[in-house]
Amino acid sequence: VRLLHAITTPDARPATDLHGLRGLPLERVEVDVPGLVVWATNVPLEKERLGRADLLDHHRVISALHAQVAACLPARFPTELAEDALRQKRAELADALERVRGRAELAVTAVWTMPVEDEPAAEVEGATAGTRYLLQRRMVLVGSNSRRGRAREISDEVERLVGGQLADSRRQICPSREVAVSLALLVPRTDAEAVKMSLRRAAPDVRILVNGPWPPYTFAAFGRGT
Amino acid sequence: MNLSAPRDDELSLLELADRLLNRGVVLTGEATISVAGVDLIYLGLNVVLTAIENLQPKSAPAPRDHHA
Repeated sequence: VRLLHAITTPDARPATDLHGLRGLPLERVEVDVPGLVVWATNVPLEKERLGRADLLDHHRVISALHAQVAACLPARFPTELAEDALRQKRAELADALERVRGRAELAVTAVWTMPVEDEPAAEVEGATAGTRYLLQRRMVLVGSNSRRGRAREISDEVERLVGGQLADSRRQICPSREVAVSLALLVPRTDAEAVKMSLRRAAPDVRILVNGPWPPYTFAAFGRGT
Repeated sequence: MNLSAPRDDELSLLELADRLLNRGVVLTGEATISVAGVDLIYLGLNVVLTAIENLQPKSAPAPRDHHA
């Protein structure tokens, strides 16, 4: 199986040798599609299956490639190389390559520091157990709405802090009870570390994690929120 | 699976795994990897990694759905 790691423009020539999955050679495949070159590993999978080590190795391969070429579109894991599909999507892929050229992705995760169940519940004198339960449920729901509003504020604040460096962004508001927002930010590679440092700040109700810079995984897909 | 107090390193790995499994270029239709229609990222690290243990690319260029 020829597993696809990334798509680049034909001028991509890494200065150093790169390894593919499982230490196998990383193949530079000159596909019959103008303007595109693909990078893949030919993995014998008759008996073995892909596992967690392969997933992280896929990230290693793409990161190494991304560090040495200007425009790199990561492939979702696992994706098998299919030239027909490349041909059909050539225009979209070329657009996406230009969108991510010279840019990297930062992942910002804002985690609530107080669990929702610890928020104070309403107290009503003389309330029965059933009423107290319903009030508690209502408080949880109201809290949830309030948290969604707060999560949007946090997202707006993060994007404001990045300012003119922000080329694009995607946000997931309250994707779980613990997480206020998960943001993907597309920023210039040359400024990515500085932006990352600028986002490391405390807030009273969330702690903010910043990961990356990573290859632009979130911004490689086309037709979703673009 | 304990989701009550995710550590920072677990969250970082979840964010990365979400990107590797759910984002990026898709060539052969909408390949979705899901558990009962719920995004993997916030189901917990063990579920993510258990799910990918069972992945095996299909030879036919058809949409893929993987359910744990």
